[in-house]
Amino acid sequence: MKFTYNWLKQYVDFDWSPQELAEKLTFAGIEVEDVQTLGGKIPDQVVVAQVLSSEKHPNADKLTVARVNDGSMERQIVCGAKNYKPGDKVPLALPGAAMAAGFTIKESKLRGVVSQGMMCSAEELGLPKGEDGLLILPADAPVGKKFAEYVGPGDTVFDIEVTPNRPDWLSVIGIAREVAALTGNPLKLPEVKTTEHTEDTEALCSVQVEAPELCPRYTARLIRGVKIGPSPAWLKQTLEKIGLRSINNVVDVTNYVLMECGHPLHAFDCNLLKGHQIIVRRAANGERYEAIDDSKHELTSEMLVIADAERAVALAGIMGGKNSEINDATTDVLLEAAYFTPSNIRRTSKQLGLASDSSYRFERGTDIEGLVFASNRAAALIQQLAGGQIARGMIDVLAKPIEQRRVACRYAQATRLLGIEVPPATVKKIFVGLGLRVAKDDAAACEVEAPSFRVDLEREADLIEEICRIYGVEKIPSAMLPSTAQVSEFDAEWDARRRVREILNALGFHEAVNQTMVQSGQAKLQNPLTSEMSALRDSLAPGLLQNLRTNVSRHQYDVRLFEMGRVFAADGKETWRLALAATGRRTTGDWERTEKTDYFDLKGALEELGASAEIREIPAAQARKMDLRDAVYYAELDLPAITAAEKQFRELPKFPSVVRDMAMVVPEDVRHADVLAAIEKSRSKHLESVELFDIFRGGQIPSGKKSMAYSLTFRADRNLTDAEVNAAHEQMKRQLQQMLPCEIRES
Amino acid sequence: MTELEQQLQSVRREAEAAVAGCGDLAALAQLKAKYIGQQGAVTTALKQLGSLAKEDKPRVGKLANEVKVALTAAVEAKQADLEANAATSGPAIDTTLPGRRHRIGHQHPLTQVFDQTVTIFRRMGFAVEDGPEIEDEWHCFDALNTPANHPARDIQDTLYVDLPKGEHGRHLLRTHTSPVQIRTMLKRQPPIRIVAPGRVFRRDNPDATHSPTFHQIEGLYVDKNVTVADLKGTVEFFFKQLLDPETKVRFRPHFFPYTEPSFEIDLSTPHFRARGKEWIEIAGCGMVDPNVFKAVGYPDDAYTGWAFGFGIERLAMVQYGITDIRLFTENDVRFLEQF
Repeated sequence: MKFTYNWLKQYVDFDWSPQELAEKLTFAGIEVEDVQTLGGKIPDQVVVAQVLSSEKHPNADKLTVARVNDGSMERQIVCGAKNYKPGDKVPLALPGAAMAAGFTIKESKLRGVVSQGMMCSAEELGLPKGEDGLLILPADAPVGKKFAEYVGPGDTVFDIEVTPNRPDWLSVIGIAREVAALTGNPLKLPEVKTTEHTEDTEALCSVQVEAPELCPRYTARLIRGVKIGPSPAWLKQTLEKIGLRSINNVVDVTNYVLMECGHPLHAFDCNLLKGHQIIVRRAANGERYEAIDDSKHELTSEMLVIADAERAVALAGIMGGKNSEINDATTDVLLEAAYFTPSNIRRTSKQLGLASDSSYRFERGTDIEGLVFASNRAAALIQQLAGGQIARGMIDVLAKPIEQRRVACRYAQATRLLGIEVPPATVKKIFVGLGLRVAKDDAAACEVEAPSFRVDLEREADLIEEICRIYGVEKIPSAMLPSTAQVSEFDAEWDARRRVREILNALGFHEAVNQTMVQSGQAKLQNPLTSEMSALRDSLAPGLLQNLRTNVSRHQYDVRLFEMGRVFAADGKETWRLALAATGRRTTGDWERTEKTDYFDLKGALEELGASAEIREIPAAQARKMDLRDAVYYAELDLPAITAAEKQFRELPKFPSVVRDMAMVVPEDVRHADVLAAIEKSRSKHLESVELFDIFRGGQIPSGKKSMAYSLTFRADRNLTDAEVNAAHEQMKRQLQQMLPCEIRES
Repeated sequence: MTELEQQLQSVRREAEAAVAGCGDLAALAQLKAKYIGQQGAVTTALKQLGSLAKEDKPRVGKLANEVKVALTAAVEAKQADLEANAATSGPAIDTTLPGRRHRIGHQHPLTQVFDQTVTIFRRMGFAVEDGPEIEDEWHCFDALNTPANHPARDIQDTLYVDLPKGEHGRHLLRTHTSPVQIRTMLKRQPPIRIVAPGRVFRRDNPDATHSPTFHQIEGLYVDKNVTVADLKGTVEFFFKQLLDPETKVRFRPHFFPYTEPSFEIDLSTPHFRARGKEWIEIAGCGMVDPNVFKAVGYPDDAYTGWAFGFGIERLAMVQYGITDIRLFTENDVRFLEQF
């Protein structure tokens, strides 16, 4: 919401600069998004001038040459704008005027034609941007007057972000009330004087509320005999400063009061209301409606409309209808001030995709009592600006008496929550400053009446928040927690994951993080953003493979990644998975010849984790078709439960081991596992361990065969003699030759 | 002098001369085997000790040992000599070549922020808690005092999972980690000190500052008399530990449905200030709303508590100067290696 510094000052005294005000509001919980200075720096050489004539520039298609009267003489001005005509009044910068943009106006020739000054747009003068082109001034602007004097002093526009619990801040008076609470100065509400005519409103029009659950209060006032016309400069400027366009005097008043009081109003042309009737009812299913912004809608019975005897004339609280809007011929204005049920306005606005300054406020909650003030304020202003007579009385249909909310605050509870004792006298002063009436009060607690504009005050905690806000959270001292210790079951899992990461990092795998939402998965979303993000991943593979491709496409060919994350089954069951993917060389940035990563790199990583999984290979030829370069190895598994394994010390061996090597030539189809199985069967009782240390092909080894060399370690609880080790070794050789198609090579 | 003694003396002379004249390591290894190896001359001589007269045995044995020790020493000295020569002959090594590195992998920057945060909270006695990524409406909204018509529940903002509606309403991808608070409070009674790291989801189109998947961490402390003062102290301690001891922290009143009062937290660190940013909005917090306690069945007025949370991506972005949130899920190794 936007408001201006000067506008705010009409309702409360304060001596803060705009920057100080921004800071004070921020720390009261009103976030100031933007502060913009307007005007205030208009040079004295800018005057109000009147255009006398306009002709095409002889040498340029896009320029015109105007004759203007600056109040003391006629001048010739070359101009690029197109939105002016003879008779218009405009701001004119005379030679010598130092403009905000950093240049000074001089008499000069433009495409061969002398120009004695510059006609200005709003932006060039640091004023709020209105329509494109020159700033066209009202017809009553006095020619020759210094423009700075004409527009008055500069102003500052604040753009604030209001939290959803505080709709009362969506108005200048709401902000003024907050400033009053912060400064202790009184709130100065505008004096409203309505001079009513003798004719009764009720005799001239009627209001019937058929859906009180959606419209707990509806009021109507009638102003007859108005003359629609442009708004005066002060009203136009006020609206333009906060980014609203001036329409006409009556509509501008309703917008002005909306921003001033925070209560949306709607003005109907009463003569366009069939039967001069207002019926507040649910729309019929399929009922068609055209709003003043020309949008067309089909309504449902869940939506509330304001209708006349025949048709809907407004979509309640959201937008008026084309068929009853104020127009140049309007003479009688029916002014609506109502309270609509917030959730219903919100739902309708969402469903139709139609929102307005009004719906924004109604859906957050407006002031069911304060709407009377807003209505009177608007009626008085309309009469003041558009003439006419205010019919006597206000039609007021109130579904049920307005409940008075009373909320108690125990001082001890405030202390318990805030950690600091705010004296009861200070607490009450804060409440009163905010417009809450203290209804009951004793040593332990006080009870306040929550005004109808404070829709957020319902419970003690809400009042304690007010104490904290106005007293100042910065005054609450920081305290350190008393020490204690807690542990959850999940702590062990968290630590286990950390160990997995550490192991994989040590092996050169970087950790990757990918999106949960993917194109295909078993669990689906009801309202996906796009079809590429319509399901929940059931594997980490697509993400990691995509990461490899991203890297390879950027000439990063050596990539090792892992990811830990949740995958989802069709029934929504979540499982933590771990996936590894590698491509390219084994180590990067190495100046020695480095081998490409292969199957055994991934197998080794899994072995370090004490886990096993199927390792998939995408051979280089296939990988190249997938925008990769080298073979890819990939494995995915349920997150291994790497817990702090029970550690048990084993005595170090007391006696030395004896090692014998054994090389065997075997056909290619004999696997390491076959050899190990055979060794296991033929093992001597002192054989401690077996380790493969070489596989050799070529040379003297016939093709189709390979040499596998194992080293066998023997150990016993005593010194083994050469003789017995040799005997065991020989016996194993003999047995292996019987079990395997092998030939033992003698070294 | 026995024959054996003479033999030993002559082996010694012969071996010492051979070792002295030896020019390469391979030949030396052969000499070593020939004289003092398992089948070597000295070893063979020692095996004959048994055949000597009793009175000769100690003397000859001692000699044999001396010979073995002397030859072993000669061989070792020669070996050291030859190795030293080998090292100084040949081209000098280029010590400016890069070291042979076994490059370690890096933890993802988001994990690092998570990990540091958890570590600091554990110092203050907080346990780590977890909850599902597919939540239900009750845990994600109702129990957190978020009314039925709240915009956060809109299908425009929240991703709903295509699963049958359960006893706790529709299934959705959690929009914040706060349901973990609810699950923890339902599971046990205060005092509760937990920190909940996790992945959350919003229906935001991906761009430089939005990702439909992102991460949060939040802390919850509930006990008999927990205050705003405790909240301030904890948050200040945490950020000073995480970022910089010179970090300034300020609290601004704000609104969240599940806390009352609520605050936004702005930080100012020397690092941010050096980049021309005085205050950066980073986190939200507040005192647990009484309706949240009601939802988990805690008696009225029994406990007070605070909750505090922030977005991991946002913190990492402002801390490291990352300008595009999509970098976190691209997993370019040149990005990952920087952390």
